[in-house]
Amino acid sequence: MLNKDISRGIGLGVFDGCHIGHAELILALVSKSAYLDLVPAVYTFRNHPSYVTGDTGRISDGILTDDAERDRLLKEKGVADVIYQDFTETFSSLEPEEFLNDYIATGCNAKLVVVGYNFRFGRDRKGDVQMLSEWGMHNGIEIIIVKPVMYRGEPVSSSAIRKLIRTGDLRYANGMLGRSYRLSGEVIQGQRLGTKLGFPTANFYPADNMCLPANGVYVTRLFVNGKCYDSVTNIGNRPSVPGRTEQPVVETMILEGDIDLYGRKIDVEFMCKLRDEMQFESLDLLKDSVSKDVARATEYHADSEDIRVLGIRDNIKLSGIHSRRFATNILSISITLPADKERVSEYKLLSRVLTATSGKYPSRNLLINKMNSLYGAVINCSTSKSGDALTIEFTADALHCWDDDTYSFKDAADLLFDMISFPDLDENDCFKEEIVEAEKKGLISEIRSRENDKLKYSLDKAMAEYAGDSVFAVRAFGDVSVLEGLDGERLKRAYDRMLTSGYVYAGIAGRYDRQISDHVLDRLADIFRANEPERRIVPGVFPGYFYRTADPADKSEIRDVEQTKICLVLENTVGNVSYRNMGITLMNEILGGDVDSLLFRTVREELGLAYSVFSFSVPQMNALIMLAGVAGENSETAVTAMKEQLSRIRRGDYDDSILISAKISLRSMLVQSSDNLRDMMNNWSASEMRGSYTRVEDLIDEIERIGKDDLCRIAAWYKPAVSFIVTGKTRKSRIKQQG
Amino acid sequence: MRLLKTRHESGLRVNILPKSGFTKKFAGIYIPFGSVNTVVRYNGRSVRLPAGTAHYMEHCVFSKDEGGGLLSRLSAMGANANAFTSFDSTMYYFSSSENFREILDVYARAVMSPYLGQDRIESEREIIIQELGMYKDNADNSAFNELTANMYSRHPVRYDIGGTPDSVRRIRPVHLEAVKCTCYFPPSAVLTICGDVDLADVPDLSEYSVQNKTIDETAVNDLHFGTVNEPLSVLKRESRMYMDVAVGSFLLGFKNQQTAKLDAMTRSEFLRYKKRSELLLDTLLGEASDAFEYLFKRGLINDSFGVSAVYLNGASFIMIGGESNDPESACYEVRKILNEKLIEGPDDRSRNDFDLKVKMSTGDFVRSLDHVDSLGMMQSRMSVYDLDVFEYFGIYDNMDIDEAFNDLRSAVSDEASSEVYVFRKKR
Repeated sequence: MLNKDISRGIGLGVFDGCHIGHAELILALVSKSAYLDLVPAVYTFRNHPSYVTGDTGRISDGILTDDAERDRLLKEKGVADVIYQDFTETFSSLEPEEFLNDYIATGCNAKLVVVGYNFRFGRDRKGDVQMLSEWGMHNGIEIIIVKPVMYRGEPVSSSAIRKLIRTGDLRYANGMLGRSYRLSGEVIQGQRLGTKLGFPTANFYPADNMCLPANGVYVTRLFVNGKCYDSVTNIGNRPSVPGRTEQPVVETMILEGDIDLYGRKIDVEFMCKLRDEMQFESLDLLKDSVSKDVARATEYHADSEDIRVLGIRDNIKLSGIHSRRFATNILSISITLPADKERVSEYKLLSRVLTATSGKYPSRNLLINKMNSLYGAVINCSTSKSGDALTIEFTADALHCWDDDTYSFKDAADLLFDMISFPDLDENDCFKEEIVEAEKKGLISEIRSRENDKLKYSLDKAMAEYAGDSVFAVRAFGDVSVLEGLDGERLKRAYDRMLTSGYVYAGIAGRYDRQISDHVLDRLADIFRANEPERRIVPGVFPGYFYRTADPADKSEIRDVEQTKICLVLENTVGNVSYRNMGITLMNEILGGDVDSLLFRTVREELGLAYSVFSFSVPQMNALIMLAGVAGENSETAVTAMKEQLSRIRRGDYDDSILISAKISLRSMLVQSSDNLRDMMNNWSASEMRGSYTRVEDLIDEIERIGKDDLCRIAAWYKPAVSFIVTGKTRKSRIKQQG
Repeated sequence: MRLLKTRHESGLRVNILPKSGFTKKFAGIYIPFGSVNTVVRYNGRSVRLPAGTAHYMEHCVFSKDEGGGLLSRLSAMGANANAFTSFDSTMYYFSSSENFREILDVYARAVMSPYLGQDRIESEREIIIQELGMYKDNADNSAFNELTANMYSRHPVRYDIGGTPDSVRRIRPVHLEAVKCTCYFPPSAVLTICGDVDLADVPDLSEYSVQNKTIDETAVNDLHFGTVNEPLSVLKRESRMYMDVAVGSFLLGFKNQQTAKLDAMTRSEFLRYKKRSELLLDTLLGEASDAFEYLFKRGLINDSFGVSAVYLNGASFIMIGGESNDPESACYEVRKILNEKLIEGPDDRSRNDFDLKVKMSTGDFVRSLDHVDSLGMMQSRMSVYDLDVFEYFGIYDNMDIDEAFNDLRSAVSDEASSEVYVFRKKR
C-alpha cells in the first residue's frame, strides 16, 4: 500500500527501454520534484498495456527491458518509487477523470504529473495531454508535458527502437536508447562445436518476450562478474550445424581468450551488425567465415574509441576509452560530494597536501623526482564545483612505455594510488602541520591574487551577487576565512570522508591493455573498499540547478584600473535542464563564444569599444555571462551594445552566415576533441555527471537541426540578473558612483 | 614520422609533418619579423619603425572588412585561427578538421597581401590601444616591461611588444608598407603544416613573390638589430611599482653577460646551451628544489613562482619571480640562494635531480607528439633556427650539469641585474 501522506511527483508511462525520450521525462520529473520537495515516482504497468488493449502490433517485436532492468534504469535516474499497476480489463475501462482523480490525485497524492507529448489514458484512450492539463489546472496539480525528443530528425519511441533492433540497425537503435542494447541470460552447456572449431562460445537463450536483433553476427561486449570483454556474437537458429534450434540462441565468443562461463549469468551488449545469418555448405566454410567475423570484430574493437565500461567492482565503475593513436595514457579518478563552504576549502587544501608529499615520498623533491624518473609523468589533483556538487579529481598522465622497458604509465598509476592511499601522516595519524601550513599559505596567497585580475574579480563579485548565500555561490577555489581555521586533523577527517562517502567514478584512456585495466580496478576497489556514497549523482537533482529568487542588481566598484571591466550575468528564467541543450551552446557561440560572434563583430570590430569581449554559459547556474574590458568613457555604450546583441538573437536579427559559421565552429570543436586524449576524458567525465553519453556525431546532427527560431526562443529565456562593473578613477565614474 | 622540407617555387620554405589518424590539421606561417626589428631597408633606405609596428601589422592582417574580417572568414570555414607577435617573429596559425586546403589558401594569401588602406589602419588603432590598456592593468605584464626597460638601455627589447599608446599613434601607412614589402612575402616566410597533409595542400603564392621582385635583395638580412651597441650593464637596478593588487610580486632579472658569445654560436650549440640552462635553473629553483621548498614553507612565494629565460639576437636575460606577500624578502632570498648555489657548484643531489630533469624533458617532448597542433607549433617555432623537431630531440644527448653550471656562472652577475617589485597600492 502506498503511503498517502507522502506528496509525490508522478511520471506516467510504460517506459519500455528507458530511452533518451524517457530520460528527458524523468529528468523533468526528478528535477522539478526536487525543487517542489516531492518524492519522484513513476506510475507504470507490470504488463504491457498492448496485451490487454489488443494492440499487439506495437510489441510484436518483443520488449526492450524486463521489469528488473526497467526498475534499475528508472531508479538510476533518480526515481524513488516505481508504482506498478496491473493493466487489466477493469483498469482499462476506467474513465480518464476517474483514473486521474482516484489513482493519481488520491491514490498517489500527486502534486506534479509529468507525461510525454503523446500520452493517452482511460477508456478507449480518450484522455490526452490537453485534458490532463485542464484537470491539473482545476485541481492545483502542476502538469509538465515533455516535448518529443528527436534523434537524427525522428521522434524517439520504444516502437521505433524495436524496429531498428529487429532490422539489425544497432548503432541507430543505441543512439535512441542512449546506451548499447543488452540481452542477458544464463550460459547453457552446448554441444561445444565452437570449441572444436577453435571458436569457443558462451551460449544462452534470451527470454522469449525480449526484442531480439535480426539473426546475424554482431560486434558485442560481454559482461560477467563485473568485468567487460570484447566479443563477437552470433544470434540465430544455427542453420549450418546439426541441431538447428527453433528458438534463437545467443552465442558469444570472447576475443580475449577462452573463459569457462557455464552456468554464469552474462550480459551481452550489441554494438553493430557484421553480417546476416548464413547457411554454410560445410563446417570448413563456416570456420572460414567465423575467422573473418572474429578478425573484423577484433579490428572494430581496436579502432573503436567509444566510451566503454571496463569493469565494476563494489560499486566502483572503471570506464575506458581505448585508442592506439596516442603514446600517452591518462587515468582519472573523480570523487563527488555535496558541496558546502567548509568542504570546498577543505578539499582544495587537501588536493594540494596530497600531491605535495606522500607516505612513500615524504618530500616534494622525492615525489617530483619519482615522476621525472617516469619520463615526466604528471600526477595532479584538482577540485571543481558544479552547482551544489564538489568533485575532487586525481589524474595520472604518462607515456605508456619507453624503449628502456620502463612502463611509465603503470608505475605512474601506482604512484597515484599510493599517494591517495598512503598519505604523509604524523604520529597522530593526521596530516603533518608543517606541510598543511605551507600549502595553506600558498593557497591563500593564490586566492587573494585572483583580485589582481580585475576581470576575474568582476566575475567573482557578480557571481557572488547572483547566487546570494546559497551553496551555489561558493566558488571552487576556496575561502580564506575557512582555510585559516584548517589543520592536519581536520584535513584527515576530510580525507577519510572522501574515501568512504564520495561518489567515485574512474576512467582510463589511451593504449592501456587488459592487464593494466584489471590492475587499476583492483587498486580502486581496494582504496574505496569501505565506500558508501553520501549522495549519488542523479542528473537534475545532484548536482542540482540554481534558481535565483532575488531582484536584478546592478553593482559597481571604483578601483585603480586603466580599463573598465564589465561582467553581465543573465539568468535562464525557464530553468531548462534538458539533456539536449546544444541549443544553449549554439546560442552562446553566436552571442560571444567565437570570433565570428555578435559581440566580437559588433562590440569589438564595428564599434571598436573593446579588445576583449566574450560570453559563456554556466548551465548548472542557469546563467549566461558576458565579459568585456573597455575604455572608461565607453562603458555605458558598451553595456548597451552587449545587451543589444542578445536582443538581436531574440529577434533573429542577424545574418544567416553567422548561424552557419557558429555551427561550423561548434562542429569543428567537437570533431577535434576526439584528437585529444584529455578532451576525450573530459567528455567522458561530463557524461558521468549528466548520466548519459551522446556520441559526437549525434551532437553534430543535433546542432545541424537547430534553426534561427529555436535560438530566438532560447535567447528569450535569459533575463538580466546582475551586472558588476569595475571602473577606474575618472571624474565621471566617481560622480556616477556617488550618484 | 619524419619531416619533409622543401622550398616552393614561390620561394616559400615549407615544412611538412605528416601525422595520419587525426582529423585535426595544423598550419603555421612564420614571419621573421617581431617587435625588436625596428629598422627595415625599404626602397634602398632605412626606415625606422615606431615601437609596436610588428604587432600593428598582425592586427592589419586580421583587420575587419566588409565580410567581417579575416578571422570571421576563416572561422566560417571551420578554422580555429590565431596569431601572435613575439620579440623576434610573428606567427599566424590555425587548425581545422575540414576545408584545410581552402583555409590555408585564404589565410596564406591574406598574410602575403595585407590590405593597408588608411581606413583599415585607423580602425585598428583604437582596438590596439584598448589591448595595451588591458595589459597595463596586468601586474605581471607591467613588471616584465619595467624589468626589460631597466635592463636594456638601447636594445628594442626594452619596449613592450605592442608598443605604447604614443608609439602606436605614431605608426603610419609607410611603416606598415615597408614591413609588408620586406617581410610579408613568400621567400621570407616559413610554412609548417602538420596532420594528415601533403605537398598538395601548400598554396601557390608565386604571384606575391613576383610582385615583390623589386625589393632590395638584402632587405631581409638587414632586419636584425644585432649590431646595436648595448652595454653589458643594466640601466637601472631597481624599480618599485604600486598597483591595485591584492598580492604583490617581484621579478629578478639577470642580463646575460655572454650574449655576444651566444650570438656567435651555431644553432645546435645554442639550442643545447638553452636547454641545459633551462634544466639547471629548474634544478636549482624549480618546484622540486630545496630553494623552492624553503621559500614556499616561509610563505614567501606561491605556485606562481617561476624561472624563465629570453634569448634574442643581442639581448638575452634570465628572469626569476612570482607573486609574494613580501616581495623584497623573497627577492633577497632568491638572489642569495642562487649565488650560494653557483659558488657551491653541483653536488650529488643536484646531479641526480638534473639527470631526472633530462628524463622528464625527453618524456615531455615525446608526449607533445601526441598532439597535431603542439607538434606543428613546435616545428613552426623551430623555423627560427632552421631546425626540425627530430633534430631537436638530439640535444638531450650528453647533457652535462658541469657545463650548465659554467654557463650560468658566466652568464649572471649581480652587477648586471635588476629587481622590480609590485606592491599593493593603498586604496
